Amino acid sequence: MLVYKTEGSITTDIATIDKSTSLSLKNGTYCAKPLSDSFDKSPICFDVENNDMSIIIDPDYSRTRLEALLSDQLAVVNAVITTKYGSIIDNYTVQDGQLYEKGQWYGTTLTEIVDRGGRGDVYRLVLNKKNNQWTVAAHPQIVLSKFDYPNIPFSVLSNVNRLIGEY
Amino acid sequence: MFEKFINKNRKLAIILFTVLVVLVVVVFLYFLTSQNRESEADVLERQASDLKESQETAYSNSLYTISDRRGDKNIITIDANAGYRNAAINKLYDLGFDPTDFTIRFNNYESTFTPYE
Repeated sequence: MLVYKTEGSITTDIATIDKSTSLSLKNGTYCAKPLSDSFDKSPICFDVENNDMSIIIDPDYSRTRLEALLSDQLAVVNAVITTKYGSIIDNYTVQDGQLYEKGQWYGTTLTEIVDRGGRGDVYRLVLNKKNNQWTVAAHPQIVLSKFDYPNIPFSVLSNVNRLIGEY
Repeated sequence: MFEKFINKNRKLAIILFTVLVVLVVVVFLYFLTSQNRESEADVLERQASDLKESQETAYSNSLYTISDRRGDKNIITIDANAGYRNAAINKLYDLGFDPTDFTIRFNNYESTFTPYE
């Protein structure tokens, strides 16, 4: 994990850390980003202002790693969806979907199959893996609202809402 | 020796003492205000939030109608022809909103999956 300081467009490397570390930093804005390709390299930024502070930097897995994990899980999640919704699911095209964070969240779209020339509604669904078991966390809806699912991370809901259905 | 110096330089001592008091007051005031000062990121975030709050979602075309935000400003109602509900949602993105932030109600619509909710 690389910790660096940002001042306008100038960045200065501060330290490379690989576990819990104490750093003495002057006031300012700092960012940390994983060096390993296994993790999402989006910077995690924080402000240091006078006081001692504790920052937990817990990056998500990289898209490549999540895609590799998904290929192992796809048959299981599809089985969970089919079992849960029974024959209704035959009227929808279920996409492969995506895993999020550390692979414990899964989201996909279900596109309503309609006659040629028509347009089916696209539904979004979220599954959560706990104790090695996948369960439905958000039933299929056209839009998943943060008010309906306060226990699902906002970033997961928002990203699943942006998935495009299969036409 | 210190008393001697003060007695000899009374004026200078008063000036030095006054400067010291002013410095202490300035440092104290700076400390107080810095506790309440918003960081630049906080200010930008608040301004973006205020701007978003003042924008309206209302939009209408031949395929769908999106209402203004109602009640607590978190509810949007959409009236859309079948198959165009997602197009209305995409319009919300175009207008700068993330639909995840709202409770969205569709008129004349019931989801096949409602029994599972």
